[in-house]
Amino acid sequence: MRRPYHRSYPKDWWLRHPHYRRFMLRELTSVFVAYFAFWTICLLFQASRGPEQLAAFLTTMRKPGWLIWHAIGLLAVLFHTYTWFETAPKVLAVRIGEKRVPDRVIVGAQWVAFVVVAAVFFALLRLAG
Amino acid sequence: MAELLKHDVVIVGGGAAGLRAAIAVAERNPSLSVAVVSKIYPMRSHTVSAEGGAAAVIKGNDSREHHIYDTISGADWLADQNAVELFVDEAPRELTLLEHWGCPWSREPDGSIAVRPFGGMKIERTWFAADKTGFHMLHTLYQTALKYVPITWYDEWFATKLLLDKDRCYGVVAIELRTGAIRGIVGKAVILCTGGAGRVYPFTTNAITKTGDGMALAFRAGVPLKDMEFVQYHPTGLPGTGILITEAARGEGGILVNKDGYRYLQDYGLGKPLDVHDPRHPVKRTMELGPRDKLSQAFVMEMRKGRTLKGPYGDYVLLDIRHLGEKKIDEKLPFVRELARNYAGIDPVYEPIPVRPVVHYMMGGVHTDVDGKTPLPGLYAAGECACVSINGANRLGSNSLTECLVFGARAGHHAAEYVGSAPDPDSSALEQQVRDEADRIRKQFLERTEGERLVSIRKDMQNAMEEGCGIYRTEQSVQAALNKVEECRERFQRVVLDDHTNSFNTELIAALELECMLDVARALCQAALERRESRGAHQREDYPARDDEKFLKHSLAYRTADGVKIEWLDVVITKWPPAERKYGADSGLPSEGGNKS
Amino acid sequence: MAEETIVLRVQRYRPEQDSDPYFQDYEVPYRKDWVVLDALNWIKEYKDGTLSFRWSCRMGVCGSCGMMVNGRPRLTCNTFLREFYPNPITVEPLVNFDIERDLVICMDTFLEKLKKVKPWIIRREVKSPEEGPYNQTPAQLYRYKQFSMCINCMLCYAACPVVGMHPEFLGPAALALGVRYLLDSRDQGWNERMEEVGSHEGVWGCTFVGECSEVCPKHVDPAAAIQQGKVLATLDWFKRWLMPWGQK
Ligand SMILES: Cc1cc2nc3c(=O)[nH]c(=O)nc-3n(C[C@H](O)[C@H](O)[C@H](O)COP(=O)(O)OP(=O)(O)OC[C@H]3O[C@@H](n4cnc5c(N)ncnc54)[C@H](O)[C@@H]3O)c2cc1C
Ligand code: SF4
Ligand code: FES
Repeated sequence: MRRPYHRSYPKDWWLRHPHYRRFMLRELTSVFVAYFAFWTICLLFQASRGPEQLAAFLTTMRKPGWLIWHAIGLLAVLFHTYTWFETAPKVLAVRIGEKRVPDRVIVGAQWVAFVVVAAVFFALLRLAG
Repeated sequence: MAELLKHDVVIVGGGAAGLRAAIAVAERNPSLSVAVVSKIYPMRSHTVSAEGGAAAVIKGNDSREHHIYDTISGADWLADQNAVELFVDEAPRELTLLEHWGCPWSREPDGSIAVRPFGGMKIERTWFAADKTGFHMLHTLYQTALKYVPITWYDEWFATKLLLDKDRCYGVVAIELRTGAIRGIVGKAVILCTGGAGRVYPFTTNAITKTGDGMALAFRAGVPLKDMEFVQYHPTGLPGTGILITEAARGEGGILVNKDGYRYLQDYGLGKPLDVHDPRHPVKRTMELGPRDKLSQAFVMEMRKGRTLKGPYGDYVLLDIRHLGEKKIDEKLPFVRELARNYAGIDPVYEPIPVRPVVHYMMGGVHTDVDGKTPLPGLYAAGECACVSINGANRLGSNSLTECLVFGARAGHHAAEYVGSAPDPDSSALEQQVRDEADRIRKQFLERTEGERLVSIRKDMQNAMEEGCGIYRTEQSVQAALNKVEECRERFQRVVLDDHTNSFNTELIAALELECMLDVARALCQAALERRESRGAHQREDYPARDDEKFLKHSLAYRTADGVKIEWLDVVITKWPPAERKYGADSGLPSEGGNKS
Repeated sequence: MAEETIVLRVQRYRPEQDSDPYFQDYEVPYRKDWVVLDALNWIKEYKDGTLSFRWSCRMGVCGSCGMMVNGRPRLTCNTFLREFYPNPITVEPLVNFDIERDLVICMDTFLEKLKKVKPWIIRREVKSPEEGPYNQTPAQLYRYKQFSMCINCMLCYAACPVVGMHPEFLGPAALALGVRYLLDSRDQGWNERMEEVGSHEGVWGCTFVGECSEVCPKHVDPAAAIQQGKVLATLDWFKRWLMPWGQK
């Protein structure tokens, strides 16, 4: 006789291991990526309405509440970026001859690219401003 | 209720031999229905653990003559030469087929197949897939077999008995583990591919599932077991667990040293050692690349001289691969490193590996001809549970995986032809046999509430076998083992289980397996007793010489009402007359008609 | 001196007697070189023959002995008691599978999934063995080699929340094998296989938790296989829609 026992999957599964919690955090922090995209659109919109509107918007953004909120957002996005970079080697599996390029080299390369792009961007801003 | 599950060919076993046979039947005649009955999921079969590789001639510097000669001399001339020739000729085709089915064989830079040397070989010819050859072969075969619609899978069904009618074999009685149901799985041909019986001994590289079931089933049906006295010890198992450190470790240049760091093999007629950094090291058929029986015997001699090391699991020596360096070890022997780290707690890059000889392979098995046919019409056998014989008194490393393929395929092809001509069985007679077997199992195991536990009987049998039928044997030691085995068989009649339920009763399976092992052990002892000579893996201290006059013969062990009876069958000698087995410096191919010993 | 011991809390379920699983404690001798499987065998041999579990090779290669050890999917034949001593060890059957009995899970679903990815070489023109092996350079071999190392131990299925929530998801091991054949230079079954591998139950079911690769005892890295599978499926999609004439 056979009577297989079925277990239902626990609703709180993501609380049950640090890796699962980290996965949830990665998924949640992606919300901030969307948020900053939305914020950039708002910024462009205000800019399109004229210099006064833009200045007013930027003044609001300098308020401590907004700064703290955006600092949190920045951390979240950086964390998301980090997890994103960590996963890249799995997708790419770059090979040189028979050897697979070690994961940390690929992850490192992305950070280098990130820093370079960010630096160029800031340099352009400085030049423009 | 004794429902019969009907097919054309019933294959018992889902290891390399069983799967190859199943594919062979399906390809030869796609209209035949094939049942593969396996007590564990096929990909769990112990073929999975083979590390080193599979032999077949493919390189220009090699030749069929070399492979034949290595096999025959390795077998100490007890192999049937017609079978060996056929085996060597079909081997490359079989390994190529496996390549076509997706086996990830290791490659040369130009994309051709890479080969490595193995013990007892004059020329390197072992195909390998890193050091997980058996694993890759088994999964390739299993995954390929999945595509054949005519194959029905009886996964986790345990065969307990052959179904017979009018002196022919028509299937098996089997227990479905998950329900405990006992059914007849019927076909006009049965191919036994149940693997070896290493678990008859306490220290072995074999999985818990290698209990000689197929051998016992055939033996009980009156089919003889051939050359059972030849048990191969592998010289490099981990003490305690018996986990194998593949011969490839020596093939790549690993060395064996005793407690003084001395390469002791040079004292036992295996040639002179070269420095490990000498580009010519390791030399084939020499020192560490000598055959397994000689290496295991040298260990016992060293032990007697007190030159081995002592640990919690008895004496051991050291296998040193440090000079290969981390890079080469990771590239060629990653599994060795993994096993040594996990189970011996040492990293072979920095420390030598403790090893000792452990039981590894049964040269003997169900008596078959080159087509896998046994004397019982309708019954075939292939793989480690069969004895064709190409392995004779000592199997050459990496021949047995190939053997599973070559003779699995042959048995499959011949069974597919045979079922066309075989008469239909009498179903009611078969049903009766199923009912009787179900009754027997219920009464003997599931209903008994008092008696002796399994484990003490099993341990007693295993220890008796190691002591009495180990690397060196005498009349007395074998007799003592036989007496003990007979006593264990007595005690087994009163064995009691804790588990009296039906669903996934693994204790019942363990009992049935022990029952099989007791039969195998009995045949083994009787054959060891009556072979009064020393040859290959069978070393009798009271008869230290090989005796071709009397014993250039296969032993055939029959089960009779009053014990096991041994008969003798001439070895087939065609072109290679018996000569002395030589290893070391003077181990060339002898000219035809080389000196007799 | 009294022998050192350790407690194993083992989940039991006997379909003929128990309506639900429960835990049973066993005190077993503690040996430094024992794995969890050794302890289970000691229980079975000397204390309680009714405890059922699967095992075979006890060298980490047959894939039979996967169980939850203290909540994590592990091969019990290479999980040492010394990792936990002196604390008790909880042993349960792998999650995300039905329980057949005690520590034995029901694997049927996996076998169906495995078959779906067509884990065999598909050729349009078949070479006869007499023509010899196909050529495959080491570089071509290494493209798929890692994904061919799967022992079907099911640890990754127990680790994967998607498998838990969506039982129809083909899952890490089956997909890794599907991708293994997609990447094999000898294979020509791209279109047939991609139908399953590139489906919703296939690679697109994966949300990339990545836990499968964490628990895999053979470093198969099924998560990587699946992500590479996503790339292949995307390229395949582009090829089909943008260049319908350029299909292989
Ligand atoms: C550690 C190790 C390393 C090895 N390395 C090499 C090597 O490098 N080269 C080489 O050539 N050889 C090697 N060998 C030997 C070789 O692996 C075996 O001889 C070969 O794999 C045996 O295959 P088989 O198909 O006969 O049996 P197995 O693979 O053992 O399969 C037996 C099958 O029979 C089934 N079965 C058994 N009893 C029953 C029953 N009662 N009812 C139903 N089903 C049953 C099992 O479920 C299983 O599927 C090695 C062996 C070991 C142990
Ligand atoms: S991918 Fe790894 S964890 Fe998953 S079944 Fe295969 S070997 Fe086990
Ligand atoms: S028993 Fe084979 S993997 Fe653990």
